[in-house]
Amino acid sequence: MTITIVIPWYGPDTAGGAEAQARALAGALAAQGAAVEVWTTDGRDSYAPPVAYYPAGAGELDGILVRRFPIEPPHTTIHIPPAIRRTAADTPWSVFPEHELRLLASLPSSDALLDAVLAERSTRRYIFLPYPFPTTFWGMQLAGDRGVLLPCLHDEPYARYSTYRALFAQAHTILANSAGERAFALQLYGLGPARVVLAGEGIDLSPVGDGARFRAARGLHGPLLYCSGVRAGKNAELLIRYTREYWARRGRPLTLLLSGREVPPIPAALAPLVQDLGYLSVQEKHDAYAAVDLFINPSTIESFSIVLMEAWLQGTPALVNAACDVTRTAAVESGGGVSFASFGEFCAALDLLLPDAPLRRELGARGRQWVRANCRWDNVAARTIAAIG
Amino acid sequence: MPTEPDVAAALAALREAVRVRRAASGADAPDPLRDELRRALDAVEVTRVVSAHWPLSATTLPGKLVAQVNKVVRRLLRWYINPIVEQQNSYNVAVARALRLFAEAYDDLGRTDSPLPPRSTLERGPGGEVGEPQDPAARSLQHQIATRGRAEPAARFVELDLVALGPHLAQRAHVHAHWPLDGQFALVQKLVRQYLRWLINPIVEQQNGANAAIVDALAALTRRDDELRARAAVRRARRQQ
Repeated sequence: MTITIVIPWYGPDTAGGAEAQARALAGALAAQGAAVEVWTTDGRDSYAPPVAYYPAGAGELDGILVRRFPIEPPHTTIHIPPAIRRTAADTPWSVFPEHELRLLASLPSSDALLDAVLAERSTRRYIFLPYPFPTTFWGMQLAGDRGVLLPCLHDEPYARYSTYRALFAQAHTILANSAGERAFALQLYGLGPARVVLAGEGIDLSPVGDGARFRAARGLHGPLLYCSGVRAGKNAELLIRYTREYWARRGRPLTLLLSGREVPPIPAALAPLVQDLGYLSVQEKHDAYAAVDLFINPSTIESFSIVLMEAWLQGTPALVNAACDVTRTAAVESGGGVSFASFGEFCAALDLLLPDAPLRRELGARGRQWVRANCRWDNVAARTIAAIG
Repeated sequence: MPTEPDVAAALAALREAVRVRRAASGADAPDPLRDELRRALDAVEVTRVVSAHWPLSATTLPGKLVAQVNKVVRRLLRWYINPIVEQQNSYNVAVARALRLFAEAYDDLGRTDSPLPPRSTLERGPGGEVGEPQDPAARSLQHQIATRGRAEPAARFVELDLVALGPHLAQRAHVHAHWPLDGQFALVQKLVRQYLRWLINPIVEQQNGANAAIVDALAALTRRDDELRARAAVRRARRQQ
């Protein structure tokens, strides 16, 4: 039976954590011998307007069959897809608050894709990701027991909507990316533990960064802090201001490096302290992890945190936000980092870690060891296949 | 038998602690500009709610008749007018919050050059963290962070609240006069709204123009505040070197 991954966006030019995960998972499942397809829209990604970017129809990427369906722009009113109206005409959708149904309608989707889910459900197993999108919400309804939810869940207001509570309540199998995400889903939705399977997520374990090369190329000296994958909602504003205040209080040399799609504006006066690295090649990204003294992830909305795992792979210790169960749990389990719950703890962590190179090396080594043991795609694929049944 | 807690004494101690803290921060020093700002912000609080339902009354018989007719018209049009007013009120709430944050930010900015209080020597109390590391060395490290963290003088970061408020302001700045209508009277309501466009839309558009300009001004003020804090940080860091 073909495993069909359903995701709003997928392609060589597509950005996004869930999209990168889907691509790697598809490859890993195929490598395990599973028949895999990806169904998606012809849109590019969440950063682009909801219009066709890739050609619709069947194609191939990394040896995986990809079927693209026409993307539909957001609807301004509540939209119940035709496939749902045909199969669940009696379902009282009005039990959900109007604003929640409007949110669903406001997100890109594809009625043609949902029609196909319904038409081929007897011959497929579907994996839907990520949880908020109509392709997942309606697709899970249509797939019934053929659907598995890979939510990429994190703690955000939408997660508490009754629509998404119903989605999680209905799913017979939910795949969690991390122990923290699994614990959050169990607690938030009151699910039975057997229904949420820790399939995990993998990263490419082969890159080797060259920190000295990166420092030399960028003219960087002294203690370096680094936060990558910066985009809106990932708390970079907090990190910049905490670093600014710490530096003002201590006066010691320090540089905070940032990279990502949406680095917030940096005040001109902070130019020596905070630097936007701009575009980095894949190798430069790993060189940067290897170059810095401490990787900081201030985000509270993570279901796995690829960037944290990549930093640990290069042996760099991490400081994470204690308000994020996912990264804090990873830091606790791995021993590769510590967490801060306040500005005071942020200062204390820097005071303890920056002058102590042996301690940083020890934490970084633990993080690397943990990533190598826990983030192998072949293991993730095997656990996913076992969970799908 | 357990003794009753002395609530009065506890409150007195609390008030004294607040007084000492305010005195230390200079908050009690006479400051006519700050007082003027407080009064202005109080006025914003009082006036920020727009009401579409003010009292309609008259003393003469013709006046009373007109008032009754007006009440009926207002009641018949509230499906149209009230949502517009509610949108504007939602925006006004966000603006009022932004102005209060700016006032707080100015107070805070004025204190950034003051010397920090010494780090406290508070020790960690009993009780462990939730989800502590199993490894004793890692657990000890996290405990040290918690203990030292409590000793670090507090910082407020008002500007983070301002940054977070930005998207809310922008989201509420555009008041819509045309939203989907459904229900029993939808057709009639659409016709009425279509007819009254000449009256309502120009008012809404002018208000939207003002709302957008206010959002831009507040965003510029936020950036300015950020820059001033950055410059203050540079001065403070140099003093530490």
